[in-house]
Amino acid sequence: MLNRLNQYLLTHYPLLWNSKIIWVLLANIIIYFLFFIAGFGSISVEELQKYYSIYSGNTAVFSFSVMCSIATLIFWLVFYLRNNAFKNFYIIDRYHLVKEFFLIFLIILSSLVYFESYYIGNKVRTRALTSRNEMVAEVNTCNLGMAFIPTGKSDYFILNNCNEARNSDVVYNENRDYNDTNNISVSDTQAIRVRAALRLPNAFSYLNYCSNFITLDEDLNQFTSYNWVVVKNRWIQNNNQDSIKTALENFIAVCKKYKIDNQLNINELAALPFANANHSVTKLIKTSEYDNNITSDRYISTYSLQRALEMVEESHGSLINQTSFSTELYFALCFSIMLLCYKRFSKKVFLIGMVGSLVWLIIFGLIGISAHSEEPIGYFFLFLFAAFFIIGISLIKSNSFKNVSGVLLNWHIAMLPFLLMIIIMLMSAYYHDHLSLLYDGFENGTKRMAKDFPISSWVDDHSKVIMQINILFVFLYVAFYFNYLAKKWHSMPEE
Amino acid sequence: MNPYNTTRMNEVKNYFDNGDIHLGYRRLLDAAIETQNSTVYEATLEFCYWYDTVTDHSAGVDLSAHVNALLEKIAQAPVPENTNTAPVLTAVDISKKYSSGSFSLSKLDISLQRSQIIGLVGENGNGKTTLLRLLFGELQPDTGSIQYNLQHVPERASFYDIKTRLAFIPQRPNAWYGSLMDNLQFTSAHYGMKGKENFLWTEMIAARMGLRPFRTYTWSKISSGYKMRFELAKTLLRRPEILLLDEPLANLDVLAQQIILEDLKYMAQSVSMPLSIILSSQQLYEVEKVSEQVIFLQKGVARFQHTKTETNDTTESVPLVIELETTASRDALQQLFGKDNLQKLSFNGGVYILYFEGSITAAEVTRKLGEAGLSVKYFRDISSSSRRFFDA
Repeated sequence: MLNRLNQYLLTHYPLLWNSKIIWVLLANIIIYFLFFIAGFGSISVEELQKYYSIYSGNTAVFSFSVMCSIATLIFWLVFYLRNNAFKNFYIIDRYHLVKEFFLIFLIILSSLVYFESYYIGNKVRTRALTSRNEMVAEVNTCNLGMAFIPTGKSDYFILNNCNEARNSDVVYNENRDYNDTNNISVSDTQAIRVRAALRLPNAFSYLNYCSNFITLDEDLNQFTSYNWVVVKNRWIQNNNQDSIKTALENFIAVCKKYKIDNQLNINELAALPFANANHSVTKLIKTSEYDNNITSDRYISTYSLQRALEMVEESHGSLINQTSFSTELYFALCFSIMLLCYKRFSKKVFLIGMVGSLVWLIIFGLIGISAHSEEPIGYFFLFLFAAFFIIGISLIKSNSFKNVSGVLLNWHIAMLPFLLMIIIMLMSAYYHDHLSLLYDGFENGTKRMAKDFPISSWVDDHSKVIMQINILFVFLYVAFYFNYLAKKWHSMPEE
Repeated sequence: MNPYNTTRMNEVKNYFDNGDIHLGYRRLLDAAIETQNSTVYEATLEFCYWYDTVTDHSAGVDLSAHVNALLEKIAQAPVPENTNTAPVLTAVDISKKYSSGSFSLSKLDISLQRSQIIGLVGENGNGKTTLLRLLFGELQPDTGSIQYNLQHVPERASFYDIKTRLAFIPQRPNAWYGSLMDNLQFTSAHYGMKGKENFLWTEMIAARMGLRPFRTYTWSKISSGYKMRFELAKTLLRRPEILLLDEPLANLDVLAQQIILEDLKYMAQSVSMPLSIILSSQQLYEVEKVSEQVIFLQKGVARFQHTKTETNDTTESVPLVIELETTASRDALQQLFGKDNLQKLSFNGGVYILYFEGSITAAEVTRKLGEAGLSVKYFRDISSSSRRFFDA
C-alpha cells in the first residue's frame, strides 16, 4: 500500500514525492496526536492550581518537542535532499519553485510546533473539566464568596469602596503606620486622606468591599462590581445570614472541586459581618496554612484557587497563542529560506554565505557596542540590504562573478525577514526619541505628534499587525521573486 | 512496413541468426524504443522478463520465435521520424582564458549537426573540458558566440530552458542517492512521463542500458561502467537534443568502452529521437571510430579538425603514417622502407611510428613486412588519425 502510494507520487507528482510531504505530514499527525494525548492526560484538577499558565512549567515538554522536531527534520532532509530537479536542469513547470518553497515551509512549520499540540491537549482537558458556563458561574461564586472571607483589610477600606475607587487613586498600605507624622509629609495628600479615613468607624467595613477576586477577560454573564455591591450590601443590611451561608457553601463547593486546601467555618464566616453595627472586619483569614502574619486557625489557599480558575479561563481562550504562533511562523520562514538557499545555490556559495552571515553578525554586534545605540545598526543593515541586492542583480544581469552574486543574494534574502523589524525600530526610535523631545513642551504632546506624523504614529500603533503581514510579504517575495532570481543565477556561466 | 522498419528488422534478425545475441538484444530494444508506443513497450518488457530468465541464450531454441513475434509487433508500429536537419549548435570564434592560470583556449568554430558525433581528443590539460563547459554554458566565452537551435525549446526561452535539452555528463558524475530506478523514474516524470507511461518508458531505457538487474541498487553498489550507463539512461530519459560527454571512457574496461561507444552511435542515429553528441576522450581510435568529426586540441589550439567525408575525398593526398608494433629493430625497419620515402621513424619503446612521403600505400607496407618475414603484433594506418600528432 505504502509502496504503491509512493510509486504513484513518483510517477505523477514528482515534487510531492521528492518533498516527502505526505510521509512527513502523516508522521507529524501521529506525533501531534501523541503530544495531544500527553497534554490531555497530564491535566487533572490537582494540576490546575500548580501553575499560573498552561504555558508555564512545561520546559521538559518544550525541550522534548524541540528534540522531536530536530529528529523529524533531519530524517526528512536525508530523503528530501536526495533529488534536486532544479539543480539538474530538469524541465519544471512555471510554479514548481514556488510550490517547492511552500512545501518546505509547510513541512518545517508543521515539524516545529509539536508542543502546541500538548498545550491544546491541556486546554481541551481543562475545558472538559470546566465548561465556559461553569467557569463563569464559579468565578461569580468565588467573587461573591470571597467578599465574606476577609484575607486582608485593604479591600475593605473605605477609600477602596466602589464609589471611591473609581474617583481616586488612593492606595491603602496595611504595613504603613499612618499615625506616625514623621513619615508623612505635608505634600503626601494620599497618606493624609488615608489617615483621616482611618479615624472613621466604618473604615474597614464589609460594606466597602468592592474588588473582584477573579476578573475574567470577557465579562460574560459575570456580576459587575456594582452588582457585588448591590447583592452583598443588601444581604448585610438585611441581616440575611442564610444567603451568605449559601454563597459560602457554593464557594466551598468550588474549592472542593479544585481540591483547594482550606479550613473554613461557614457559620462563623457568615456571622462575622454582623459582629458590630458598622459591619467592620473583625477577623482575618489566612491565605495559607503556613501564613504566620495572621493569628487564626482558619485559612483558604486563595492563590491556588486563583491559579486554578485562571488556568480554566486560559483554556477557554484561543487554542493557539497568537503571539507565539507568529514567532513560530517567523522561525519556520527563516529555516525555510535557509534550506531554499541550499537547494537553489551551489554548496560553495551556501557555505560562504553562512560563514559570511556569522561575520556580519559579529560586525553588527561591534557596531552596536561601539555606538551604544540601535540606530547605527539599523542604518548599516539597510545599507547592506540594498547594496547586496543591487550588486547581486547587476552581476546576474552582466553574467559575471557567479559565486559572488550568489553569496550576495544569499545574504540579501537572509536579511529580508528582519528588514521590516529594522524599519519599524528606526521609525519608532525617531518617533519616540527625537519627536517626543520636540513635543514635550506641548499640552497633549502625544496627540499632537500623532496628528502631525500620522504615518509614523500608525506604524507605531500597528507594529504587531505589520509584522504579521510581513511574514506573508517575505513568503511571497521569496516564493516568486527570489526563486526567479535563483533560476537566473543557476543558468549563469561560472566564469 | 516502412523502409526504416524493414532495414531495422532485418538487422536485428541477422544479429540473432548469426549468434550476436547481446548486440541483437540491444538493437531489438532500440527498434522498440523508436516506436514510442506503449503496446510495443509492454510486449518488449514481457520479452525482457522472459529473456532474463533464460540462462544460456545460445542454447535457447525458442529465442528466435520470441524475437520474431516481438519484431512483428514492432514492425506494425509506425516510427515518428525527426527530419529536421539544421545544425543544433553553432559556435563561432569562441575562445576562453581563465582568470587564474595561464591556460587559454584559442578561437575555434564548431557546427554540430543533428545526429552527428564530434570527438574531442588531446592530452590532459589541453582544453577539452573547457570547450565542453563553454558549449554547455558553464563558462562564458571571451570572444565569439554560441547558438543553440533546439526543436523543443521555444525561441525566446531562458537559458535554463535551453539547458533542459542539453545534457552534460562530466568525467566524474555526481553521486546520486536512493535507488537507481527511483532516480530514473524521477527524471522521467519531469519530462512529461506520468503514471504507467513513466513506468514503461523508464523500464525500456533501463533495459536498453542493461540496468534491469540493478533497479534497486544504490550509487555505491554499482560499478563505474554501470554508473556511466546510468548517466546515459538518465540522459536518454531527458530526451536531450545535444549530449556533451567529458571523458566517458575513463575508468571503463575495454569491453565497457566498446559498448558505451556503440550505444552512443546508436543513440545519435535514432530516427525518432536523434541526438547530437560531442565527446572528449583520450581513446583516440575508439573515438575516431564513432565520430563523424574529430577535433584535436593541443595547448588550447584546435590543431586538427576534419570530418570523415573530407578525409575520404582527400585520401590520396594524405601522407601515409603507420603505427607499428614489432620485434624487428629500428635498423631492420629503416633498411626495409628506406627506399620507400620513409621520412621519419620514431619509437616510444613500445610502438614505432613510420612517416612516409610519396604514394606508398598501407597495403604495400603490409606486403613488404610480410615478404621480409618480420613479426607484426600491431599495425594501424593512422594517416587520417589525430594519433599522428601525439609524440610516438
